[in-house]
Amino acid sequence: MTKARKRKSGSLAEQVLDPATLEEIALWLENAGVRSIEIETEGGRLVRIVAGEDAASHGAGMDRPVLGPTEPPSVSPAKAPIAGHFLSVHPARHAAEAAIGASVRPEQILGFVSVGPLIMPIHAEEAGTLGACTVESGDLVGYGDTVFLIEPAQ
Amino acid sequence: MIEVLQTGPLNTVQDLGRFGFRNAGVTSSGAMDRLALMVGNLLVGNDEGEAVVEVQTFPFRLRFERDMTVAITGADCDARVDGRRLPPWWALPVSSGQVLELEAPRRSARAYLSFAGGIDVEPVMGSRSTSLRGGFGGLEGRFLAANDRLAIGGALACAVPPGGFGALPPAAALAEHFPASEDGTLLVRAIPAGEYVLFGAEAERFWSQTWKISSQSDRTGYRLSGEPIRLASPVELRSHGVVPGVVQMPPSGEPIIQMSDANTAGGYPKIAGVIDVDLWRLGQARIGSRIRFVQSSVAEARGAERAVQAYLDDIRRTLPMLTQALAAMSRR
Repeated sequence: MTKARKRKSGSLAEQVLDPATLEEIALWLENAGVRSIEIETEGGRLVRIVAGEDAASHGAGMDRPVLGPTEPPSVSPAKAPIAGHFLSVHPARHAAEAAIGASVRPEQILGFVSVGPLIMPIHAEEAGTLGACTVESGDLVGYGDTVFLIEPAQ
Repeated sequence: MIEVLQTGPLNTVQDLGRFGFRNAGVTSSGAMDRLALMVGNLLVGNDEGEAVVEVQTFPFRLRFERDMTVAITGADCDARVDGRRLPPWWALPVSSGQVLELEAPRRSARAYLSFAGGIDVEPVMGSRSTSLRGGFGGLEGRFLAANDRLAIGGALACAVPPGGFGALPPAAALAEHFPASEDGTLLVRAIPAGEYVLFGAEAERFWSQTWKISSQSDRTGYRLSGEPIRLASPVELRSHGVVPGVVQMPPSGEPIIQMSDANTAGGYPKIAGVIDVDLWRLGQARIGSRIRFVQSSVAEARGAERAVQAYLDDIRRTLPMLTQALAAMSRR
């Protein structure tokens, strides 16, 4: 991203969408073992680049993608606050912060996302019953991915 | 300011210690778990060696008298802010009037409370650590009591996310660099010291047996209990310099490990020295728990030190990246 910015001509989006640049970025991703990358420009548009076969035609120039699966309207998601590895249990504890089936309060911590040596909390947004965890502990999650489902309190 | 509402005895202000005055009989003092102190300080944006509160007797409660950022590291004390439960190794912004509570931990021994800006007590001989024996440093050279108020230094605008965040605890992040036993006995690496050879074949049992940390253990030193190890023939030694980590063998044959408030001199034969990088784990070992010594080398100790340094550097480097990323997300 920063490398693309150094190029002189065109907007950032145009520069990123230049086929040669795309190919280069896709190669970086592949080398880094990263499947996809999302880039936000000043205009707020989001570019998603997917590495692997036929990368250029796959996601470039998409509008803001819908993140996470669609849930039934009665269920409220708790989402990852940042991209990283999901931790269902804090590494210094033996039990999860909230058990499936337990009632949870707004702002209560349900799980964690580790980013290198740091840990971010996944919070419940509203009161309800913790319905399910949709991600395996240790899995990579993206920003805004649904990690828990909460059945809101009536 | 923070106000102590409830505390047991022996909870003190500590930093990384007071060095350079051992020749005048001044103990180094400093946190028993220096790694927890450093991580806590990094999480709230401080230099790693700012003064913190070391809590080793519980329950402990304090009230914040202004908005600030606090980190709780070390032992998991089921910390709560106004009743809201926090994970261990956690930092968060708190508001004036909120109350932080720590319960007795089920594992580990000591928790550390770091505040953005650090505890502003007057340094004595270059350190804010409390020397209980000397009666100086920290808050009036004594341990904290209810109604004590501690000034907190001015902090730069702190970028801690409002919902708080934490660090991967060193026990998890550095697992491959610290030996672990199957039965939960703490393995402490040590290097044979000055009088090791005087113990002859007896020395073998120093390594092979499991020692229990006796109730006569504190910040000065841990007295271990187990099968006594005796010198082939008694020796008289002149008093010599002693540092934290030195393992002495008194005539009883049960070792003493000198800890943060170590005597500056002693005359017992030294059988071994615990490597510096393992002292924080010993600082978290509880009275009544079991330890075993593992023979180590300078090279191994240096390797573990590099790993710890890399972990701290990683936290220091990742923190601004995390806060930038969160700021970018919140603009969406």
